[in-house]
Amino acid sequence: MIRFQPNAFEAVELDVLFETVADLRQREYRFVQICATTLEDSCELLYTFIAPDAIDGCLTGLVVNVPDGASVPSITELYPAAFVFENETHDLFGIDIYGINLDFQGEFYKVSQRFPMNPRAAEQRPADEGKEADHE
Amino acid sequence: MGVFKLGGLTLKSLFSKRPTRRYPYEVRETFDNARGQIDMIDIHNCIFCGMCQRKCPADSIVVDKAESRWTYWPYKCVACGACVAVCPTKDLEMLKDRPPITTDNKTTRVHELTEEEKAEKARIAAEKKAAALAAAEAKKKAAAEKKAAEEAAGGDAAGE
Amino acid sequence: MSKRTVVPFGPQHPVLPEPVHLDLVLEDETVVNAIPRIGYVHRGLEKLVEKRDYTQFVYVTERICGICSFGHSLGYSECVEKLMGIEITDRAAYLRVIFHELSRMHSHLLWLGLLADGFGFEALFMHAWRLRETVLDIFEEVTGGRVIFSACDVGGFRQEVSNETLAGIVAKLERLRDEYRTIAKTLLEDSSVKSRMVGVGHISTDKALELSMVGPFARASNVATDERLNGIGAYGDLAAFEPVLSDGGDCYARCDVRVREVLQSIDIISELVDKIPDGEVMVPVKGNPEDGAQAMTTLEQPRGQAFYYSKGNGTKNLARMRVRTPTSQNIAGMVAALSNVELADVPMVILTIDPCISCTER
Repeated sequence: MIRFQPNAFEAVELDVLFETVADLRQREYRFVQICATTLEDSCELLYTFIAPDAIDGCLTGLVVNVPDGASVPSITELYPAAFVFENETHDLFGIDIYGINLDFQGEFYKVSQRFPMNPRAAEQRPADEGKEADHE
Repeated sequence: MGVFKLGGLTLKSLFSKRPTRRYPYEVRETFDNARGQIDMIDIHNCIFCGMCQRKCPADSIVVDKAESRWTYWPYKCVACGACVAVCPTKDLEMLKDRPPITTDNKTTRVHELTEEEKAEKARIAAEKKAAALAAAEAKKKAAAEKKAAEEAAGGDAAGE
Repeated sequence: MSKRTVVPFGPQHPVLPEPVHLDLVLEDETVVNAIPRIGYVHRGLEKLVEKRDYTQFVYVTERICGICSFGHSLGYSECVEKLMGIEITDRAAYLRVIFHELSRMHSHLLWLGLLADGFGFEALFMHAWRLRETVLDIFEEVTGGRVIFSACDVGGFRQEVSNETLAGIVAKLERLRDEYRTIAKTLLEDSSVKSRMVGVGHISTDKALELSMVGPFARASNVATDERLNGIGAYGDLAAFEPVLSDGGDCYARCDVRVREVLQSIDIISELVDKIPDGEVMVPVKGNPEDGAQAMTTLEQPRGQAFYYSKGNGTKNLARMRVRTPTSQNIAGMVAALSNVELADVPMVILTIDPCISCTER
């Protein structure tokens, strides 16, 4: 009996993230989710995809290390359904993501504390910041 | 056409036995396996190890070893059964009824040894400790005497 | 140039099982755009992993949602077992799948009742929930709980279930099958139901693939995505498994897919009870997850593909536990299904998507 699906983790740099995801889109990989983890002095993003012909359901995970204050490009051009996770990541962890197709600018998740999952971000980014990013 | 199917369903419901129960005049028997609340079987079997307190996800048990007391908050408990599974002396059991309705949800259920039993336990512990101390003293004394005897014998041999 | 109005839908609404807010942008009576907002049931359960160790956290994951409760504890247990390299017994794997399929049946029966209630057909709502009581009684007899049963744990299945009990369960489900078929047919073959659901909220196969939809929502648009095809656990021992597909793409097709999935679940349970091996059900679990270890698993919950990710840091608390539920993946599809729909059809479309918002927000 097979117990678990195989996992393939790959570490990816922030500047080649968009090209890597575009390549996966070209090969018709299906998008699963985006998740963030708070580490000691940075955050780590995990993008998960499934190959179209994966009989055993092998999951491919791209691990991206995001230093505090860095900006991450959005992948909603390639996978429109990612806007939910990118808005959620911004609202809960304070990671700045630019270029989302449906950008709620901090109003997607109604929480009473800013960036509840990442206390460092609440100190570094005081209120009313991150509204209009000037990256194009 | 649809009216025949719907009519059939309606007539069946009108003339068959009602599926509901006239609660509170008829109350269903609780299943034997139902999970309601926890209770301790016998405080004398408890070794106060504190495993139940460590495993509880709802922080509803507090074990006090010094006072020989086991405290349980039935209204914090979620009846998961983790404590029952992990107790080394199998001293906890899952009861099938929920705690009774009350207005004070901070009530506790406490099991502790009586004052005489606690005093007896303390006395036995003190006796044991005294005996262990005496045995250690005797052993040390014997070792010191043996060493002195060896030194004396060695001194004689060296002096010779 | 017609005027645009914005009508707020939710968070309190009679057809919604859980609170979600949608701002519907209307032109006359047609919905042009729908803007979702969530966060009404956010309890911060992912942050609770810092306070509860990995054996206590399974009871927290059970309480993420009342409808998909067993699915979450199953996914969490599988993920932590993969993280720590624990292998469970075959009997435990079979029992987990049997209870997961029972959980799927209970979820679809609940959904059928809510759909009929949304139509105003309360008698069918009561019949569907009466059938659901059979399934809940099975749960209570075996595990002790009706909705949250604390049966799945890291290391296997906590209750010993005898083979006679399993045979009794299959007998009860066979009696349920005929009644269920009558009820479902009454709803699906009715002409007024068809006139309200056929052609409404259509999503084509290409759009479903582009929007990464999952679950019965996508299977109704002929996208063959089902995590049970991976053959993980006892699903690999099934003789043949085909996902239930439909090519309508509209609300009627989604209802049809869910109704047929209940019958498929009864077949799966009968087959697995015949084949179940004997043995122990729990395996002892010792130690902590290693520092830096990561694991990802997926599971087919009643609403689609759920994803679990955990990361260890050497202590008894996990560094991160992530649950991604199918409804959050389907929000983009929901927004697309709501475009060009009349305002009176909005409750129907949302009910056929079967949203579970407390899962989305944890």
